[in-house]
Amino acid sequence: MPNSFEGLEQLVAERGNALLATAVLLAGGRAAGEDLLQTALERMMRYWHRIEGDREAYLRRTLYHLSIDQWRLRRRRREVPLDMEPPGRPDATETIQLRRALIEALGKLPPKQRAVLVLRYWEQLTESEAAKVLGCSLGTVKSSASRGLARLREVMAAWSVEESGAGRGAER
Amino acid sequence: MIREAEVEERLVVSMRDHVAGVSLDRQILLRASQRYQRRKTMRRTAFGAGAMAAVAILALVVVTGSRSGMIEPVGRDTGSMAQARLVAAIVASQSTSFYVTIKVDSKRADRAEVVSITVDGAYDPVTDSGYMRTTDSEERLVAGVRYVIRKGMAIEVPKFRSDLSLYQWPGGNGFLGTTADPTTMLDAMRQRDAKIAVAGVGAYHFAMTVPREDPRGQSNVAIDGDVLVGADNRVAKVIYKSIVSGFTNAELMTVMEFFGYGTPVKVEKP
Repeated sequence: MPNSFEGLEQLVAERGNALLATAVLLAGGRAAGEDLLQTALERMMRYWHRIEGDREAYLRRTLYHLSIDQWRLRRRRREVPLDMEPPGRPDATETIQLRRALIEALGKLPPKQRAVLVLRYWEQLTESEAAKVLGCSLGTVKSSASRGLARLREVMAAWSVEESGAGRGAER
Repeated sequence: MIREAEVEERLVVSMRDHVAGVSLDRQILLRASQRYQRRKTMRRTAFGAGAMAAVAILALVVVTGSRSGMIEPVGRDTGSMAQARLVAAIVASQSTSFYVTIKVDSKRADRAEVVSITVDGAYDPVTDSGYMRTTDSEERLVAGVRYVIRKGMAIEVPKFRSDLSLYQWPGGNGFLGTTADPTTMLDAMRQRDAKIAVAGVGAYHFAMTVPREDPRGQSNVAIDGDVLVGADNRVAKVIYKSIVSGFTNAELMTVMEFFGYGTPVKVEKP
């Protein structure tokens, strides 16, 4: 590591796990998340001496922008979440299954909707703060969040119907 | 009906559940650093790549011009004569192979050090094959298929893929940034205003300005230099200075020596 990147190792040591978690949510899987974070780190190194202020904030912004640009993800095959159970294997609870379904649905959202939902519900940013990170209007954040949540609501609703149907089937 | 608040709560819990226990592998930083270094090296290499392209253009234009005994400005405003010369140069390029050694010294305005690089290259337009080598990188063109070789690994890439950093300096966009294909480079030059004038026996002075497109900011590259033509009526040496100004500021000094005209270029698929 060149000495010119003073403070970078400390930043990664202290905030690396949180940054990776964000990257995993944005990219849809562990390996893709690592690739995304690695790309963001390389980009930050390129502009290291021009970055003024909070470098972690810069890195986070880069993660979001790269994920929206879809960067290399377009050329990658869709990654199956690592914690998905193999088909046919019984799950412990319905709750876990629903969580997985929601994460899967999140990963299938358009990149901007996904980024907005991660900013709002993972990073717990306000709509204004999310708009600032993404460099877009407040209206765009609102509409993206609304559409993204609507899609997730559909998934939850479908899940409820399936579960109730399965329950009725079991009663027969 | 599922309430929005319920969706939000479920989403938050799902996200936490999904990334619980995620731990950063410190190798990510190491790999990012290696990638950064590779990119930096490639950008330096690109100086040579651009130089090679420039001289290929100039070689063909000057050789064609000297044969006819007339040297005129070449560019979009110079009329049919210049256009005809460019077409003649394109035809000439299709039967002339060459070898070249390029040395480039570059210095960015915001850096103290001078970065030097030497490139060995060759191109045979008949087979559309060639190569470009530095101490730590190589590109090959094999029957029109381009390969980038790094650390023993070869990757086939589109011939004039513009998103490679190697092809973005100093002119970019298929002009100074391209390698080993004079035909395409000449086509690009027709859109510029390259001025060529006699500077002595077997010597020609040239100057042109090329916009350097960079999403971060506009720069221009002012190129000024001389071409020396040998007794065989082929370009023997080219020396030129490039001044990049605007968003990026740098100076480059390039010296290129040509030899082996007409000698076949043998390149194997990696």
